Amino acid sequence: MLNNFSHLSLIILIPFLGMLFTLAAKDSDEIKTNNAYNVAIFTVISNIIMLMRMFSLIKVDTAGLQLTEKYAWMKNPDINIMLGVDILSLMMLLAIHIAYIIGYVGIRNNNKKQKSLLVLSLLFLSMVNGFFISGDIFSFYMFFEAMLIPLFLLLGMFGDIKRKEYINRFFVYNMVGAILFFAAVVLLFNYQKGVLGLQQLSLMDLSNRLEYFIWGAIFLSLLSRIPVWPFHYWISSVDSNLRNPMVFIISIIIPLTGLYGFIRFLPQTLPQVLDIVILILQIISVITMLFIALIGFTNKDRQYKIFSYVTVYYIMYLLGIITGKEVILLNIVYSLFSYLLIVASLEIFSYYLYKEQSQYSILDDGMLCAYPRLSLLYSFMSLAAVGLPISSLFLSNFLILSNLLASNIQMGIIMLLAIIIVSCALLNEFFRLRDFEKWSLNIIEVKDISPKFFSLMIFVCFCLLMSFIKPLWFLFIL
Amino acid sequence: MPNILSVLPEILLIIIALLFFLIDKYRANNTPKTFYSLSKYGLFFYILGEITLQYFHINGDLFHNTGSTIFYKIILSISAWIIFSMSCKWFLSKNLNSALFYGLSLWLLSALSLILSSANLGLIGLGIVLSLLIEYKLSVIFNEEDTQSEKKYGIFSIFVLLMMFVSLYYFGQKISGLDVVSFIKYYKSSTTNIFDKMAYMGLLLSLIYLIGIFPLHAGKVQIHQNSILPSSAVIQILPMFAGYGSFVYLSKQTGIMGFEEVYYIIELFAFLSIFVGALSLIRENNLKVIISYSSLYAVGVSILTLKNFDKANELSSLIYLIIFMVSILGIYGILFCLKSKGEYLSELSSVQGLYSQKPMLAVLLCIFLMSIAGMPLSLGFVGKLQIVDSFVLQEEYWVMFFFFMAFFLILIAYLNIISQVFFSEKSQHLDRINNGSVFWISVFIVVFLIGILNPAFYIENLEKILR
Repeated sequence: MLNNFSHLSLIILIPFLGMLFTLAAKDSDEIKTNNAYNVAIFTVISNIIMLMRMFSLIKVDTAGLQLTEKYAWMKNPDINIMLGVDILSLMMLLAIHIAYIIGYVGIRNNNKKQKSLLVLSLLFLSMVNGFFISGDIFSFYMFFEAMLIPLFLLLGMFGDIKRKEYINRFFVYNMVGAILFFAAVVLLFNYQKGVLGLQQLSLMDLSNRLEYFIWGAIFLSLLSRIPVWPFHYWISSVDSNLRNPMVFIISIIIPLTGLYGFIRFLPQTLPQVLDIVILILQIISVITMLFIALIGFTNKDRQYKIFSYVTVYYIMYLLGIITGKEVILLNIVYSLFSYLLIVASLEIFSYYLYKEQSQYSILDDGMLCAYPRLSLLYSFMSLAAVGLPISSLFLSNFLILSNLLASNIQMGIIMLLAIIIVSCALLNEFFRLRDFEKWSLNIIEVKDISPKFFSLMIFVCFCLLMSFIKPLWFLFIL
Repeated sequence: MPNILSVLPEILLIIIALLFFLIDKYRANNTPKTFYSLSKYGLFFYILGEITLQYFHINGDLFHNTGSTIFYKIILSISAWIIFSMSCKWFLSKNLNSALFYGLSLWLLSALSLILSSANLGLIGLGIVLSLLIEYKLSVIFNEEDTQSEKKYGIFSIFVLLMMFVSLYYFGQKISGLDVVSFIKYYKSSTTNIFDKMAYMGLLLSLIYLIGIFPLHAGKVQIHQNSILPSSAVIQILPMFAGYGSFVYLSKQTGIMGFEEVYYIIELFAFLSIFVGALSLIRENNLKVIISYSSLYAVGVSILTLKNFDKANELSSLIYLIIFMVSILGIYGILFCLKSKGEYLSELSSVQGLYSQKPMLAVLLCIFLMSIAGMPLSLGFVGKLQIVDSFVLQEEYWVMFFFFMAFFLILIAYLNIISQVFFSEKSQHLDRINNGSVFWISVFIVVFLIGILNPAFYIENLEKILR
């Protein structure tokens, strides 16, 4: 069955084996050990090394999937599985892995079911890796749906979500999408057996009705992952309630899978059947953006502000992807790389502040003044998040926005407005946390973030700065 | 000259079961292990006998075996073996006499074997009568209460048997002898009238009753609530699979020509089974009954896929059903591990917070439930894929749509169980896990892994057997 067992299979297998080892790792309560945690960190680092190796093996300028692997999975129906990567998928994977490291370091001292969290997050990572390296529509679907179970468990066990129906709602939305996708995949396989590459879909000659159904099903299933109305409902009810930063980081990967699906499936020239759908989608998207941005601005909860930032940016990326321009797609991927790292970092900092706040029972106004290291990092990330020229987010977003403004001025203006509002919300929160006059309890001896964590985050800041100079800067080292 | 060798394996099972009752009566110091060991050897020689004596037939088609019937019998006996093994510890911990359970189960197996191998409507009828009687007896052993569900089951069984007797009498009057060959010959030369169709329906209903699909499920499903765990497993799995095998065999032999309306009705029943099963699951609180409603859903899907009874559809349907069987055996394995203060638990509330106490069991339960639902990267997905592909090939898009709707419902029900297992606080302290069950669950997981990584291995071999 396995005709070529190499890098791509390993990318899926390493987190899966890591999960098993983490499960087997024993931690003593008496002598504080972190065996499970260390195994999980080691697993993610091993995968980053594998990713770096893959970056060195692929030709960046070559279009199409590289390092491909094929497996004959089933003969009746004839299904072959193909794996492959290109610069887009590798960048996404690298961003996810670094975000994982940030998340893991941020929850290092948590005690509540830490092992379960690590095990499920590694299982999720394995599924996500499978999704991003899928080269055919079948494996794409399989991982698209399979990642929902670990996510469901993570949200239920660690989300601290008071109302269980939020999680069920999350699952219902996603499962409807996944079922639609499955129906489309089976119908497609009825037309063409064997391997059905992701880009091949737009080249297939389908009957009009079938074309409507398949495109409609795929679009809806991918949209169900992106916080666009009416799908924003589950994401907002889940994400804005999440208190565990690792689970939040994982949950924001889900919209990324929807975006990635659009990048992969959307052909350069859209079929005519989609014209009206695209227009409706654009209108709904900008309205959702503005709506969420305003709620984020008025809401006092820091978590909701981060969530509204995440949502507005994801929708902006979606609108950018719909333009279908190659240069925009590449810039979206560069931007997404920085965006993921920034959101993961902000979430971890925010969580640290929440913990400190609850430990000392204090108000968080001006709180950053007592944490110089954290303050420095928070300042950097907040400024990077709003799009200052300190990460690849700046130039890439500039290109995306200018392109969107050029294509539809009204839509572009509303979108710009939403981005400004959400940036104001983040900055407002940052200034509130830095407001020295309101910091009334500076007599308390507080504990800043550890030097190890600080070093890691400085490295992340360095990566972001370098990405501003050249998004693929690390290729020179390899 | 009848060749009695072909029924030797069945006779062996009957004798062993009789031996149990003698041992139980005349030998002291018997333990459940005594009967389990004897059953184990009995089943081993039964499988051996079926394989080696498969070429012997009685009167041509009266009692004969094909690759397909041998396959069904082997799957049945292996399932019985697994259930017996898991049940042994149950009887030991309860300190109950297991002779009756093992003996009746072996008799049930031989009655089901008769249904599978016989090409005579009379013998099939006899097999059904015996099976239902034994099933009833199994459902009430060690059950002191005479509840409504057992009464309902008894009434349904009598009703079904009456219909079957009337049908057999009708065919007996029309056709000389009740063998399938004469039946086919007769209906090839003459057209069917409404009474023929009704009689045929009556016959098929008795097989459907064994399988347990709508509307005859009502008698069967609820008896699981009160029956002991080993009996519940036996009466859930064995008759369903044998009934399905016999239904497919008989339908293929007689052909559906002339009886199309009968099959339309059965399709409708199968269709309703899917929805009734999925909907009933949502509000059910007993895990044994949950398995039973899941079976209603699964057999509905399997029978609906059988349309036209061609090879591809039969293969898809069978793959789905076998994967389902493995999954529910896995869930029974977990139920055999759920014990608190010596009492076996089967209420949904008893698995609340299972993850915090027995994380492995919770994860395995999740895997088996997701497999029944057909989530990707579980073995059940292979089965679901076969089914959906079969619907697409038949251009049954509406059926596919309703299948997805039912799948959605079943998923909601299972998510509710998973939520209770993983997200709730523990409800009671669980005892040490039964090692025998753990062994079998590990075997199922290996089977699952092979199936996920290389489903072609199973599918191709099954295709060869059916050929």
